[in-house]
Amino acid sequence: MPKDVERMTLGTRIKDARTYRGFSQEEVATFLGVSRSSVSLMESGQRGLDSLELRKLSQLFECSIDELVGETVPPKTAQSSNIAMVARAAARLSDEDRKEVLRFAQFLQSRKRRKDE
Amino acid sequence: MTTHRERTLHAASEAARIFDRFAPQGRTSFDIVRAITILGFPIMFRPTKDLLGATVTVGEGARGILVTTKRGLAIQRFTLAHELGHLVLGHKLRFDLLTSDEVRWGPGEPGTQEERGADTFASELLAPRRLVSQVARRQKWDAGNFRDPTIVYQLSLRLGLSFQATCWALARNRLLTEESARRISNETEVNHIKLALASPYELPDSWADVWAVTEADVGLLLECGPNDAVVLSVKDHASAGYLWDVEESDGGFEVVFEKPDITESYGAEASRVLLLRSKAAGNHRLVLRHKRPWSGELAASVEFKVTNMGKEVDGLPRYVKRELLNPASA
Repeated sequence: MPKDVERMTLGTRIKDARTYRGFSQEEVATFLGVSRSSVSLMESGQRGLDSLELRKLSQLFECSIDELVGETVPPKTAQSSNIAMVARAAARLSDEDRKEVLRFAQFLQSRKRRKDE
Repeated sequence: MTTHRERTLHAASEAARIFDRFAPQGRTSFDIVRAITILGFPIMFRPTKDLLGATVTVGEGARGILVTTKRGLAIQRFTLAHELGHLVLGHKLRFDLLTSDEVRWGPGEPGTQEERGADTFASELLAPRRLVSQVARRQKWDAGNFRDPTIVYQLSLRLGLSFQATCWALARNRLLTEESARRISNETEVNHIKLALASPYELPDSWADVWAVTEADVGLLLECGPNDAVVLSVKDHASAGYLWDVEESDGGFEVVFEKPDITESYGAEASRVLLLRSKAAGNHRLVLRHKRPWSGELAASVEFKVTNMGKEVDGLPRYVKRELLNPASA
């Protein structure tokens, strides 16, 4: 994969991990000790990350470095056979709510993988 | 086969065990987010529409709790406690809910035995009798006061529970009869209580709460929403010439109006009522000084701790984000 495409994919994964967990760019910037615009550039693939920054991000996002750089495919949990749950709901789950459950299951698996490392 | 009574006792004793471990310090509500996090279960808040909350397990041992951000803080807290109940009580999670069209139980419906067990657990964890009594003792409320919906409303704010959940917790703790709890829960228009407390100030939205705060709340954390109003009643400690002054350096609150408390009987100690509204969400100190404006001579000073960030928003809980962003303080 060309380097700029790789960088852009890494940026997208970082942005996705950050927004899902509810961190602002400002918070991530302070955590890494860089400016907010540096985080913005990282996420758009216009700035690379050094190994220390990657390690810190994997710590903040509680996922493995491999997962951030794309060497490990994020856990595929789209098969509901792997997920058990008990829900408190006002109605039958919409497709959007089901997607949220699947995304959360992926987060749980990714977090566990890092803990097991 | 266990009986309903045995299951209720089991849920209550497990809730008591967890409550003891994380008993509130310097606050009147049980810190459910902190407890669940320390017990090792990740929490995520997301904008799910119909799903209030879910306990999810993936493969071997990755378990966590998902909670909606479409409801207020009191519902988020009760849902968290309810989901923790499923985990602590060892309820069997099912593998078919994502694909089947099974009807799910909503709040207030009878539900399955497991749902009822989780509700009992949640109520016992967030409003055990000793916590209710502790708040009541401090506020000088007795059991008779709980027939007053305004008192029940103020109790609900301090416990971080909905008005309805508080009514039922009072009945469960035998501080109200079931009949009274049902009547108060069904017949009370909470918005009318809020309007009466805040009048003539108009609340910015119908979700905003009104905290009636007195010196009994000094030193405790008041967990407000961003649009809540605080009605502070303070006693005059000295003779004429002293005024209550709110220290505004913190920038979190501003005084909307100040007036004498007209409910005081003639000859009683004079009181002032101040209504404050929040200007910025955050953790604030609310400091009031009773002093002579011209000389600065101080007769009394009271301080309240207020957090007015309200419900959790999309993402990890605020507590967890803070710990992750400041690992040294964890």
